[in-house]
Amino acid sequence: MPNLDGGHYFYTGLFPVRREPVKRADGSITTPLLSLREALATLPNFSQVPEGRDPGGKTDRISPFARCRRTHFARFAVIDDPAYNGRDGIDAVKNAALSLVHRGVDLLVHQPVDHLSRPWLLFTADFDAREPGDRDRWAIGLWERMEPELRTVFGACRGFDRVTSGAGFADYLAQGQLETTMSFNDYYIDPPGFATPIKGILAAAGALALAIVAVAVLLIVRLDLGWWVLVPAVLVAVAAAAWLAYRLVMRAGAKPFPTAPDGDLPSVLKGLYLRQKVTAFAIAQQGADAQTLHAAFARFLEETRPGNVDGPTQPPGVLRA
Amino acid sequence: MRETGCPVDVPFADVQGGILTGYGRQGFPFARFGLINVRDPKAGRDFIEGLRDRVTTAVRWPSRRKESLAPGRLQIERPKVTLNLAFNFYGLLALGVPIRTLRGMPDEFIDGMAGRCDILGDDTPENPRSGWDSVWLEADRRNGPHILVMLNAQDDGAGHPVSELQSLCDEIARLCRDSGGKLTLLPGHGAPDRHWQPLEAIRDSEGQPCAKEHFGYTDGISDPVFEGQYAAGQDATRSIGFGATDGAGTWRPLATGEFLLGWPDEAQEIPGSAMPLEFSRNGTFIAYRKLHQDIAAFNSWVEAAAQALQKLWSLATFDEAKETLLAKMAGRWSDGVPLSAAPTFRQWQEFNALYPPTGKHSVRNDSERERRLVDFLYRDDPDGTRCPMTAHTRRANTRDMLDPRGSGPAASRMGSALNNRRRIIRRGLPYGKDGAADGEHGVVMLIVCASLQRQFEFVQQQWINYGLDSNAGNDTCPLIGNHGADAKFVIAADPDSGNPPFIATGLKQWVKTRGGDYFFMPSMTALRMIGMGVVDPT
Repeated sequence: MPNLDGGHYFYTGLFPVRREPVKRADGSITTPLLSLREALATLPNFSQVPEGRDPGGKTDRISPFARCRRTHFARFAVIDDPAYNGRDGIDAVKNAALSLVHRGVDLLVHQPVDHLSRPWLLFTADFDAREPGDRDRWAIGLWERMEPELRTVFGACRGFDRVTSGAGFADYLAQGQLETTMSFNDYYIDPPGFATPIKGILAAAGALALAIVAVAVLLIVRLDLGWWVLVPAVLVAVAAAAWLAYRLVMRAGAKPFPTAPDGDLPSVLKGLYLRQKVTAFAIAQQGADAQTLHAAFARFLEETRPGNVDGPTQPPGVLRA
Repeated sequence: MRETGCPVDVPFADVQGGILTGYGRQGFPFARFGLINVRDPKAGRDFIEGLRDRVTTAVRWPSRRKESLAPGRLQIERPKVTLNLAFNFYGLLALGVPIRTLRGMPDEFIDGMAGRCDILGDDTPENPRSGWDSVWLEADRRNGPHILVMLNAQDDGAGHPVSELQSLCDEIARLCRDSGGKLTLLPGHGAPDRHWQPLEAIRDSEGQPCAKEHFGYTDGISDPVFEGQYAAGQDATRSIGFGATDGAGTWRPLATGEFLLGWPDEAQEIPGSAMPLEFSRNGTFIAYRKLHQDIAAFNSWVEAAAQALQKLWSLATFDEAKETLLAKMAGRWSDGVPLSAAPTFRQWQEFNALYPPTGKHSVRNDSERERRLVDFLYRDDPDGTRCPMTAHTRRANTRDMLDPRGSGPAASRMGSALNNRRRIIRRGLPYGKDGAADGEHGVVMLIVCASLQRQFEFVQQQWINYGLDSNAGNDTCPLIGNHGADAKFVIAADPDSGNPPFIATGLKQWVKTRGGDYFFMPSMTALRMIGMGVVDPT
C-alpha cells in the first residue's frame, strides 16, 4: 500500500532526538528526551467535556491538530530502543551434537544485542489528499496553524533548528519520512470497486508466452535447429509470462484507491453532526402525523443543511456521537 | 478419543456457604452485613479463630420437604443464622498475610472498588462517589473496612428474624468493644450510627418472602450453573438454560474455575492466583455493591413513558403498555417470563395459561415452566424485535448473541466463549422499604466470580454502561446503567406489527451506588491459615 490511498495521505516519519543536555528557560538543565516527553504529555489530545460546558473553554483540551480541517488522526510516540527478544533460538540436540566436534554455539558467550543510535520520535498522521504533493501543502498548513506546538515537540529533534518556515517544516517532514506500507482506511462502508484487470493481465502474459514460443518455432524452422530447442523456449516463455503477470499485478496494486465516498474530514464531521441531529429529530417526532412530520422535516433540513459540509457541523477534535 | 475421568467433586465443606446457592432461596429472608476494621493483626486473627468453627459452609442441609436422610450419614443441622467472612486487600494486609502471598492477588482487588470507580461508572455527575455511605468513605484504607461479616437469618414465623441474629450481632459487637480499639465494628451504613446493614427479602401478597426487587421485577432467575455445583449426576440437567450453550440448544455446566479459584476455568487452565495454592483454592472474589433504587422517580418515568408507548403503538390498555415497557427494559415480564418466550402482552398471558405459575420461588428447571424461563437463545431475534438488544438481561447474559457463527446453520454454531468467560453469580438481598422515611431502599448485590476484572468489571463497563456489543452505540442499560441528560432506550418493533420503533428518553439515574468493595472469600482451609497466621507462600 502506498502513502497515498483512498483519498488520504498516510504519513509516517522518524526523527532523531538530540542527546546533548539543554538548558530550560528557568535555567534548569534537562535532556531533550525528557523535555520532549513533557511536551507530548501536556499536548492537548482531544476534548470530551460533559454536555453543557463550553467546548474550547478553560477545562477543555482541544488538540492543536483540530485547527487543521484536513487532519483525521495524528500520533506521536517515542521509540527508545528495540525490545530485546533474547538469544537466537537453537536446536539443543543439534547443538549438543555439534559441540562434540567443537562446532556448536557456546552458550556462555554473549550474542550481540541490537540498539538504536539514539531515541527517535515517531510521527504519523492521516489527512485528506489528492496527490503526493499535498503532503507539503499540509505541512505548510500545519506550520501556519500550530507553529508554537510543533516547535515544542520537534525542538527536541536533530536538524529542527534549521526549520524557520512552513516550507522548511515540509522539507523536514520529507527528510524524516518512511514509506507507509500498510495504511488503514476506515471510511469505506462498501468495498471499493476493484478494477483489477485480471483478464487483461492474463491475456498479456499469454501473448508474451505465445510470442516467445512462436519466435522459437520460427528460428527452429529457419535455422533448422533441433526441435529439442522448444523445451527451453517453453520454459523461458512460462517464466517471462509469470514475470510480466507479477509486474502488472504489482502495478495495479500500487494504484491508490479512489477517495471513499464522503471520506474527507468535513464530510465525516458533517456525518457525525447529522447522525446526532437525526436521532434527536426521530425522538421528537415520534407518533407525529404526516403533515406535522413533513413540516418538521422541512425545518430540520433548513436547520441542519445536510448538503453543506461547511456548516452547521460538529467541531473537529471533540469526542461526541 | 476422549477419556472420562472422575467428575469435578467440589468439597462442599471447604467452600463457604452462600456461593453455590443463595441463602435467600434457602429460607433465610433476613441478613445483616457488618464491616470490621483491624488495627492489630493478632487481635484480628483471634477474632477469626473465635468464629471460625461457626462459619457456614456449602454442605447441603436436608431439605425441609424431605427430612429423611440416608441412614449412617452425618446429619447436618440447618443453622438459624449463617455466618460468613470475607476480606478486602487491606484486611488481609492488616491480618498479617505475607506480602509474597498478597502480591499474587489481582490488581483490581488491590485497588478496591472505589479505586475502580472510573471503570465501573461509579463516579459520574449522575452517580457521584460523594453519595456513598460514610462507612466506605475513609480515605486512608488502613482505617477503613477490612473484614466483611455476613449474617443471614431464618424467619421466626412472625415475619421477623430469629432472635439468634441479634445475639450474634451483639456478640460480634462485644468482641470488637472488648478489643481495646484493636477491632472496630464500623458505623455508617446509610445512617451515621448504623453498625449493620440490614437486608430483607420483599414479601408477596401473602406475606411470604419472594424474589422480587423494589422496581417490581422477579430477580436472580438465571444465575450460572458450573461443574461440581450440584451433587454428582445433576450437572447435565441443571445446566439447561443456566450453563454454557453450544448455540444449537445443548447446554453444559460452566467450568468450575470461573467461580472458584484453583480449578480449571473456561480457558482450560488454572488461573494464576495467590500462593500457596491451598490459600486460593475453593475461595472466590465478591464485589459488594450497595445500590440505591429511586423507586418514585422510576415509577413516575414509567408512567409517562408507558402513556407515550400506548399512544404510539395503539395498545388497548395502559396496563398493557406499562407491562410491555417494563418487560422490554428488563428482557423479562415482571413475573420472570422471558420476552424471548413471550414477546407480546397477549403471548405472555398465553404462556401463563399454558404453564401456570406455581407460587413457589424456585430457580430449578425441573418443571416445564421453570425450564422455559431459562432455556432460550437470541439467535432468532438478531434485531431485538422480541427482546431489545439493550434490555437488562440480554446485556448481562448475552447467551448466544455474540456467537461469531450465530447467523450460520445450526451445525456451524459454537456458542459464545466471550459470554462464558463473563458470567457472574449474583447473591444478596434487598434493603429498606418503598417510602421509608430515611429514603433507604435498594439492593445489596454480592457478585461472585473468580476474576472481578474479567467477569464483573467487563459486564459492568462494556455491557451495562456501554452499548457497542449490543449494536446500540453508547446507550446504557435502561434499568441499572448510568443515565446522563441524553440517555435513551430504543424498543425495536416487529415490522409485521406495523408499529414504528419506540425511543424512550429522559431516563433518570434510578440506581445509584451507595458503596462497596472487593472482597476475597477464602475457603475454610484458607480461613484457618489466616486465623492461625500460618499462610506460607514459600
